[in-house]
Amino acid sequence: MNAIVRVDHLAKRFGKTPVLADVSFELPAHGVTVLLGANGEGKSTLLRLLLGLLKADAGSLEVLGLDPLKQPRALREQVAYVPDAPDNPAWMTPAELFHFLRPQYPLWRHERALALAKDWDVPLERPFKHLSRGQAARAMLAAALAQSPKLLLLDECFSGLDPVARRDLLGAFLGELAREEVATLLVTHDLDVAARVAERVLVLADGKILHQGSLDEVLKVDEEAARVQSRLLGLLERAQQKEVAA
Amino acid sequence: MSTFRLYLWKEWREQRAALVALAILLPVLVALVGFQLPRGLATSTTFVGVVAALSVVLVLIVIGGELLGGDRRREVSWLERLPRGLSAAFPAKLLVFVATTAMALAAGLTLGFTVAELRGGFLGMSFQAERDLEHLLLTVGYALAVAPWAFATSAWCPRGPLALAAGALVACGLGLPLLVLPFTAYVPTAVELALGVTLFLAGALVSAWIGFTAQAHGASLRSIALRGGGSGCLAFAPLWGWGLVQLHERDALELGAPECEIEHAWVSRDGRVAVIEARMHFDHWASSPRSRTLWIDLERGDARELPIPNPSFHAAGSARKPGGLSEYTEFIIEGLDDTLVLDACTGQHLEPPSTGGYTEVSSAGLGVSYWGEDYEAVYHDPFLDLELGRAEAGIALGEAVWIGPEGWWIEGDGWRTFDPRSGTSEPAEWLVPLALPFDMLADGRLIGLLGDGSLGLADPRTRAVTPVLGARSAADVEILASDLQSRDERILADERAHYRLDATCGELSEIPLVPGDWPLRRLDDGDLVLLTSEGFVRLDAEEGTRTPLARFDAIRHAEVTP
Repeated sequence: MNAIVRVDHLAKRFGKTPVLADVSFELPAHGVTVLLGANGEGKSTLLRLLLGLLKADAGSLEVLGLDPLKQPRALREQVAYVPDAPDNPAWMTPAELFHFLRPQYPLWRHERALALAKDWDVPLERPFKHLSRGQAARAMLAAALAQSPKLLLLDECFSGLDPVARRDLLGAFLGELAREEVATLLVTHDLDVAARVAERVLVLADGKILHQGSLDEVLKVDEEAARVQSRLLGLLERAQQKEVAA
Repeated sequence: MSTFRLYLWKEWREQRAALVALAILLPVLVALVGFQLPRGLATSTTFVGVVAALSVVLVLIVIGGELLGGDRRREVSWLERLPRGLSAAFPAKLLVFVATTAMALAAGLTLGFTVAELRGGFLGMSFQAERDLEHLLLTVGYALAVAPWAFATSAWCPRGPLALAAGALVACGLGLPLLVLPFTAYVPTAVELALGVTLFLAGALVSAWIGFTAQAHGASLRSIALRGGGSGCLAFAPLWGWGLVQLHERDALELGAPECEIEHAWVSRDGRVAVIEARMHFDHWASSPRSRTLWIDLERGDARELPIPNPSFHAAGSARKPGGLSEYTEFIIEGLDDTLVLDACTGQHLEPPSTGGYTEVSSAGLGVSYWGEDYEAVYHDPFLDLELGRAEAGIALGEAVWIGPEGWWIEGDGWRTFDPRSGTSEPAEWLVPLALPFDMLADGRLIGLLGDGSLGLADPRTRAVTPVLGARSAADVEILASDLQSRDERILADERAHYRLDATCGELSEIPLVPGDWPLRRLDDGDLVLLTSEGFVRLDAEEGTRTPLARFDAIRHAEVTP
């Protein structure tokens, strides 16, 4: 496999709490890979490790052939990240965000950002603090795609949307994604989202990648898989219940 | 647009609202307070200084203290994951901090002066007293000194006001040498001052930079504080080192060094013990360090410091404590607070008197005088073993008394003699040529200056005053090395040389001293103990040979408490 990400026996703990125990996987240079796992399993931590925002306690990782900690700038110019909720200054408008990001990414396509914003009905001059969650997520996705990234990391950015908005955004996003040559790692605990976009699935539980392969392979009914599926569905259901309750 | 300008734009957008609010609020507040204050206060430099300082403080709380810490609480992860990371944001934050602080200072001064002018006249404000201006500068200076450290500590303080408090603590704590030394009479050179201020500012800058960039990689607040604060401590290390060196230098006593001045020195009669009072003088200390008292064993060459600040010395055998004459045959060193009394010859502690201190008994010829219980001068005649009070002897205040084997000589408006047994006195016209008596010799002759400035001897047996052969016009003649035990020889000095006077025949002979020699004691064998620039020296006054007793560079000076 022509891997764009190589993770080998990665471990990370916060204080005395182990989050990732022994994570190993590779990511192909194209296509959408979904990282499935319940809340608190370390999915976001894994993404932050890939971006060089955290230091691993053990193991090694390589993204685009680069060490995220030693070559952060080169890496971040080629990797786009969309968090579960916008973390840029709330006073910024999407237009200001694009304006701010433009000189920082060598391959930035400003026209594309504006076009995506227009297509996805993002109010360009309204501050993020006054945007709906869906509008903010679309603005962030537009900014991410405008960077012309080789790797797109999406951290639960479709969660928290109402079903209709989620369906529309997913559709629009997948349409745009088809036009890009980009590898995507989507973190979610939403099996429905995973089913719609995943070409490949990684299941993260107990600090390890328990299973990887196509969604069908992972969910294949055999004795082992049934146990996995049952556990996975249980975890996902619990997470969704929490989300609904929230 | 460059990255720097981009981040500058971001900071401007974030602080814009606060700046506008301050621009409206500050004049209103200053005007409200300024017009309520008494006119005298509102037109003073104190008012202007306080307004300027408070403007700086206010801007620090609202903006300066939030520049670094605000991101940590909001969008640090966003800034961090941008290609240039957190470090790209720092220069713009620093510039905004400097600009807003400078603007606050300018606005505060302008507002203060304006209100002062409106209340009665800035132009009428008196800057005649330089301290007014110093007061203004000091008030503003303290606020400005805290500012960079408030900026630095804001990287790890939860809120702006806390950053201000932490910055003040760090600036005062770590910058203590810079703040304290000038107030302890240290006068820094321009280079030292520039270096100190540079370190102070550079420390804040480094601490701010490290504290801000330490927020990366999900660092905890404690870790950020340790790295930011720790780097600040390191930046201050040279400043502390410099301060400690200065204080150590001030406290050190280096005998023989050009900066060391020996103010008083005494040598015991046997030449075995010396006690000196010395202090260092430095150009960069406005006031001299405290004087130190050293007890030096001239035979072994070692020394110890006596813990007697500002000592007073009482000469050999003439010290008197309340209730009677001292039993000690050598001299006594006494602290001003009367708590510590030493026999300087043996180094032994003496019991301090219960009331009052030791007083040196002034010589009255070959007798002594001291203050009696009723604080009336009492004269002791050793030849008759008789004591008389001043009034009893008919001695007026200001009159000098010389007690010898031939009776008492009293110098007032003129000379007269007094018989203590009969209580009668008569004029002594033959003593008139002796214009300025110095000392009484062992045989009762009186030595002093004659009217023409030459040295003379008054002999009671011949009732004549005769000049001392060989003595020059000696307006500056002083008698060194006289003591009650050895009155047959005197060491004299005039502006040209030192002499020894054979008191038995009145002849002078020159002593081979060189400039810088300080004769301290004539020993029983006739040798002199000198203090020279290199240490204590024994001089054979006849042969002129010198024998080192204790060299300064060999004296092992130990800080020993007795």
